[in-house]
Amino acid sequence: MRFSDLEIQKLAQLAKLRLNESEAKSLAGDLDHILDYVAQLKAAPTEDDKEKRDPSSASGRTQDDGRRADRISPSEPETVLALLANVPNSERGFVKFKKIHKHE
Amino acid sequence: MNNFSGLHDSKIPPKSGTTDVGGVVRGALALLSCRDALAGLERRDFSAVELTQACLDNIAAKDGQIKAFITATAESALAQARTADEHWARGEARELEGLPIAIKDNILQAGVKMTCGSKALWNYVAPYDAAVIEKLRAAGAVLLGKTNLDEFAMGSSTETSYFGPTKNPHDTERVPGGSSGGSAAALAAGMCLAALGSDTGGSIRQPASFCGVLGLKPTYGRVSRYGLSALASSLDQIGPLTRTAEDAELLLGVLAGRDERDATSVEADWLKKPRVKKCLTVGVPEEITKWGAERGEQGLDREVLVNFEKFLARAEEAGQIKVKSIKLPCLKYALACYYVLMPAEASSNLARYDGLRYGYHDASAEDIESQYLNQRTEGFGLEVKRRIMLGTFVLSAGYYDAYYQQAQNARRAITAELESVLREVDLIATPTTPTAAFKLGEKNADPLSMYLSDIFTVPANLAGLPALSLPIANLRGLPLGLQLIGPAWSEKMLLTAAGRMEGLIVI
Repeated sequence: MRFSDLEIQKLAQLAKLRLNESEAKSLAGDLDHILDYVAQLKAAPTEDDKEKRDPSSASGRTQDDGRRADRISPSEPETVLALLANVPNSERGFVKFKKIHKHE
Repeated sequence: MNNFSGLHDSKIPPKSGTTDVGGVVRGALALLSCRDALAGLERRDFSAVELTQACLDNIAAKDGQIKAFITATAESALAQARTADEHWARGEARELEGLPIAIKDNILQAGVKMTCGSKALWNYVAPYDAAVIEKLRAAGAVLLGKTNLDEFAMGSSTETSYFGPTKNPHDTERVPGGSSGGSAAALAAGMCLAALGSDTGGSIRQPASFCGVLGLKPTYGRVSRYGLSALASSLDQIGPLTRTAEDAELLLGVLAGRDERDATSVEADWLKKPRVKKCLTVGVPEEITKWGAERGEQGLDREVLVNFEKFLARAEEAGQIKVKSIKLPCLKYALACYYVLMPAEASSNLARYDGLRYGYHDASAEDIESQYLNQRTEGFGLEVKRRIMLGTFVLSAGYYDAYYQQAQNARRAITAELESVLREVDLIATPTTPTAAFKLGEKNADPLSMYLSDIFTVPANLAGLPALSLPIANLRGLPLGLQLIGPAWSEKMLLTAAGRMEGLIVI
């Protein structure tokens, strides 16, 4: 894999990152190198996809009855205050941020 | 850029290290195992306050150089220790009553900063306790503070932390491993009696190996991750770093169990497993022997292999194990598979760090898009950006099948292979790491060479299996670890095997 400048900048845009020219160049080189190593996966054996097993529960070890009821449990008022204490910009319990739409 | 404050909530008053406590010099208290400390507390040889102060003394004396802690919570730790002493006095001591424990700084402890080693969270104060912190508190543990880590647990050396690197207590020119390097170094330097780490691809076991302590990554699902900052959710697991296998069992007994806030967690009565047989069959992948013989292949140091083989021979002579050569042809694909899946999950998990609700914030941006870009660009370090970019790429349209889907298929094959081998042998043994601790800065220029540090540890994460690293030898002053991997839910057997092997260690 060889990344062009344009491709790296496009990726950065998708990842919500801003890269200067030297960072972009250096990251492109790193990604090339890492993906060359990863390319050996093409030769790896693959387990039949038919099982459709959840890979995060190898051998299906998670409990079948492990799902909790989908209900809302209200947060304690102290937790809400603690959460809001981390908000850089808030008003009357709401998070404030810059406008989303550039044009009216 | 560095606002490393070390000891943030109060100045730790260093007390004289020569004070005699119950016939023991206080500094030495911090080097006890958890079991020995509990016995000493029960006999009233020393108090929980003295034990905690011994750890705080060592932090004050050594952490300026080692930098194992990002935040030490001396005042609250001493208050918890006083409560513990009251419990002991009333005969109401709980499982971990008065034991000073350090916590990796990607686990939430209410009211204390949790930085993940990142500028993006430099000022974030945890609003609630993680499940494991609730359990430690309920068991009477003393929470000493938050330990340094690679930024968002992305690294194998603790060098990518925004707060500066942690040093290896065995040689301060070398790395402690990572990402739980602060926890491993704090334990090795006598700043705590045990520590918590998290392990996504080796982040407990690799630093345990580099620092000469025991590190256990439990089976996926054994311990709730509620309140752990997620790196790669299908791989992450919290586990203990301890001085002995018995201590790891003690801690895991407290930490394990179903928690409805982590849907992957499972209730399993692991302590009541049938007795572990006297002689266990241990499989050694022939691929590893080959890599060590063919100099430099996969970065495996020949001396590491020699020490590994010598130790297994000693355990075999002692009648503890029977070594069997096994084939794991998938082993060589595990790291490549990991470096597709982990960044994919990390790039998704780290999308939440937008700086609007918490963390590093740029008030000067004109619109929300610039605000996202500024906050993430300035908040994240280079390794985090590298992995977010890699993850974004392997998940992008046109490349998803070639990378992500292929890696998922390989993961299933690796898992099936390990599970099949573990039906023939009780445990699989490998060196924990291909080399001993490397020098600070040595691998920074080449990310791939850093990634290779985890070549033996990632398979257990991919397959969700429990694995531990036990210190077995010393290579010119640097500890070497043995990794044991067991079948799912076999922690009792793993820790029993490790406990028996402790008697054979010559360091």
